[in-house]
Amino acid sequence: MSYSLLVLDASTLILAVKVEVLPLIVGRIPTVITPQVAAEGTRQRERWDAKAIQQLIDDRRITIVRAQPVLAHRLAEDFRMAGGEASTLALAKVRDAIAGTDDGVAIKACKVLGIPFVTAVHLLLGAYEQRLIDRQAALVRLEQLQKFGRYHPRILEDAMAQLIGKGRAT
Amino acid sequence: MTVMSLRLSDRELRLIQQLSRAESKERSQMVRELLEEGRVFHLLRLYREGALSLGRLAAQLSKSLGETLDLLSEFGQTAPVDYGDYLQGRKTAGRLFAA
Repeated sequence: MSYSLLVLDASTLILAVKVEVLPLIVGRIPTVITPQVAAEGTRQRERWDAKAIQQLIDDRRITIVRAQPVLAHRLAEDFRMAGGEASTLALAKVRDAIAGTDDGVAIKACKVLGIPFVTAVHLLLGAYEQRLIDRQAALVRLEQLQKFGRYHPRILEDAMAQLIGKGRAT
Repeated sequence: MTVMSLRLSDRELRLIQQLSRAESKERSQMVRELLEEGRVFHLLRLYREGALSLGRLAAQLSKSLGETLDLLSEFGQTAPVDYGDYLQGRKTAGRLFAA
């Protein structure tokens, strides 16, 4: 089965913006966020990442779509998530889409609900495999992602191996 | 501010006195600061244990999600994404980018 829509929560949205991968991805994959996630991601307008997210929204490269409030509320209660995370999963579930989340609780909920998920590191690897970014730039961004995303060393080792050992030579 | 009386052990009182002397602060101020730092530590631990989502952590800390991610990075808190999650995500990413 292939999926054609990516629904991001604020954790992956912010991380993917911080390492400048999101602008590459949104041109290739239809990407949506819920109003709650848009509010969370742009809450502090003076922050660089908030400005970048707002720009993507203003340019309509990211679309804002509402989730079903009843379902989102139920998920928030059942899994003890915040509004942004719950609405992201509710929207992904209804639209048969992939959820982008770097949150542990949301990932657990995705597994229970049968929602496929990716994290910011997968978006970076995907951008590289799709030749949206060259190897050197991908390695630099993986290093940045390590700082902001705080992934387990084993994940980073594997991601590094994907970038160094596979794909096109640059 | 409200005044609250509470029982402390000799050791706890000694610790507060030592810290307040070391930082040249009044004992009550020292206790208030320790309480707040303890609250943040407690919330970070709940997040690490997977009992709190990032959004709820941010709300409890009264911070934006971006600030909360920065705080987690500052504390060197590993993301609650395990290797199995990562491998599962890789399969999904393959289908996403193949679409």
